[in-house]
Amino acid sequence: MNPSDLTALLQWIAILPKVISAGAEVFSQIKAVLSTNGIALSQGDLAALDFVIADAARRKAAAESEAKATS
Amino acid sequence: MRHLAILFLAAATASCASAPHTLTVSIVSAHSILSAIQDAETPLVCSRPSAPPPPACVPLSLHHQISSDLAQAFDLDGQIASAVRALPPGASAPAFTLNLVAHISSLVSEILSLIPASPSKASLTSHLSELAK
Repeated sequence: MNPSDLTALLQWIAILPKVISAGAEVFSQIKAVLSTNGIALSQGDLAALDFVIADAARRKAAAESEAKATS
Repeated sequence: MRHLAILFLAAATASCASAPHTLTVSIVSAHSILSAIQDAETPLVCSRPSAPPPPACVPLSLHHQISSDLAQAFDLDGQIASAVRALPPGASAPAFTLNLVAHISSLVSEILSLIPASPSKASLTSHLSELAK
């Protein structure tokens, strides 16, 4: 792991607790971390994509539930 | 509304042929837009305590349509992220991701057109414009 990857990973670890319970606002922080760490961000990129994949699945399920809501 | 859809598409497609890092930033932007819409629309459903009075609230029938569109959009969102996640080092994004992004963009336009005009909607569209930058 190169130094910039390690920096990105450490920043992700700092943010993840907020990500777990947050709504859309937290994404501006994610974007800021990704944007300020240059091109060599493989660990940070993978963490971001993993989060998007998991959150998209969670939000899809919530939307499907709301599509059947009765009130 | 069209302006926002263009911003969304631009954010999500700006770099499909370039570095996976830049594409990842675009995917996070697109996901943040969908998430902001879902978070903002749900409390606006008529009869919910958090909803504004008619005509600014979202009728249940429209909420069902919006939620169905959001479910589709998040499904596509996850597919794009998974496709990029699986890219080998140095590879460009596969062409089909552009089609998925275009589909998400059209869903976003439709969803926003279904939400009645209100201060809450104005605040949401302003926020989305910021996210798409």
